[in-house]
Amino acid sequence: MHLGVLALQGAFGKHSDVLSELTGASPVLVKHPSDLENLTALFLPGGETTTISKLLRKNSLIDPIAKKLKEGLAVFATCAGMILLATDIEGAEYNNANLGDDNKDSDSQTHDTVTKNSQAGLKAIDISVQRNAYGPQIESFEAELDISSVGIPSFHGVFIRSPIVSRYGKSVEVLATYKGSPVLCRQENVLAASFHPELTSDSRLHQYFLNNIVKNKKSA
Amino acid sequence: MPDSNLDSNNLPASKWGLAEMLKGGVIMDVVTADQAKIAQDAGAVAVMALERVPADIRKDGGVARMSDPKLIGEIQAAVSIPVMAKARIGHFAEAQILEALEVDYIDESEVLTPADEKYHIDKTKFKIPFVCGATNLGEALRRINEGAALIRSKGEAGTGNIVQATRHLRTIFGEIADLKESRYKEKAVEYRVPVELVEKIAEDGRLPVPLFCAGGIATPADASMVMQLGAESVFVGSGIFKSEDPKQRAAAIVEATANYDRPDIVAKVSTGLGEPMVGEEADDIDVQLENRGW
Repeated sequence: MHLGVLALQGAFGKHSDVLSELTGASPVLVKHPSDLENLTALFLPGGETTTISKLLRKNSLIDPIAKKLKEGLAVFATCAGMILLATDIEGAEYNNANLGDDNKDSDSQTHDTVTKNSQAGLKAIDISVQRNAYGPQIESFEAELDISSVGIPSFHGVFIRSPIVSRYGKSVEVLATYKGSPVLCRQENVLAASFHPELTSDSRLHQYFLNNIVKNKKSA
Repeated sequence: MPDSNLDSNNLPASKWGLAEMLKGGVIMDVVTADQAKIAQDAGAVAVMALERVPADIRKDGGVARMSDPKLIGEIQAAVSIPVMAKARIGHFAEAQILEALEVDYIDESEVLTPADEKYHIDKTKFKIPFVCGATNLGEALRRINEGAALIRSKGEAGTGNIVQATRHLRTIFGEIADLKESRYKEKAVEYRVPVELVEKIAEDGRLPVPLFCAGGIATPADASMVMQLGAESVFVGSGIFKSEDPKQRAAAIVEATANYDRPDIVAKVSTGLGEPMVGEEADDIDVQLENRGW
């Protein structure tokens, strides 16, 4: 098993700590296309979506990651990572999100270009997300989640300026919800959470991913 | 599970975790909504909303206070990234106002004129997290003990001179490395913090909260240097919007911060950036902001 954590910006250190403890080996910190070689799984951490999107582009990582995703690379994405993988990003109130094209002049940003740009992203899981949907930091919260679907009856969910999944396609399996909205989704080799399992000392979700999604793909 | 998500200060993960989300990034001072948009488009992880950048506060003199809520509101409306704002050291009422305004982070900052000569703000009483400056380990630990979720080395704001930032980072890391078991109690007395905190830092070899760097960063090379010295993110104040081409410089510092260990990339983004802010020699300035707070 060859694990990588996207380390351009954000909470990559915490994912790396969890994986080091679980596997006894440090994951590759992925910042450049050459870091993706031989990876069987990639973790996309929380952080600032606009920043990570720009750095993905500047460091020429979007196409190589998209290619690996198609080839079956297992990916566990949390919070900002979930947004990066979503097919649609809503958020008309934040019409300067500029998730995509760096060559665009900031003055000419409109909501239309944001929507279009966001759809030019990785599109690896058929969900629509609303960014920062719970509001500013003061609305960040923690809640016990029922993830019995994968044998975890109670998991402490840490939500920090989290997105809300407002729509999901037929190919998406919803593994956990909070107040009626999906917070943990799977589509084949992709697992996406709107909360932060890496910020607790509970590694069961990382373990589930390694046991059931990464290994599946390996034997497939 | 036990309360494993609480940090050593009993802050919940939903509060301390935001600093993790800001790691490897650049937090930019902005004084207008337009500047905030430029910062966001350049890839800033957060903006610091204030009325004057430190270079102007330094130039104008007088008492520097919390920004007008109107300005903060305009900046909040303009961007989706977190918005931070500054309260004066010890001025808990300003901090209460900033919390009521729902800013994402409060900076209890020496850039503003201190409001209390004895006490910093009791940051455990707030739901939103605080960042505080420090020039050495004792100062960092006192702020953490008061509930700071994030420490930034102070540097000397508004100068465009990196020398104090370097000194403060080296001092903090050096003092952590020098902690010896036989002297934990003595150090705890000297630092005026519980001995458990000193023990934890000695065992972990690091602060229990992230350490960012502020004060004097003006170029991509400055960002790369402080990241290599161990800073986990950078604050850039006057360095961007006091330069010739803020948009390009902002994007370059973002790229250099993420790729701080790649001189080829830092070289590329440093090319043709226009004039940086002019900057001032440390000995030539009247007010040493680093000496505010204790």
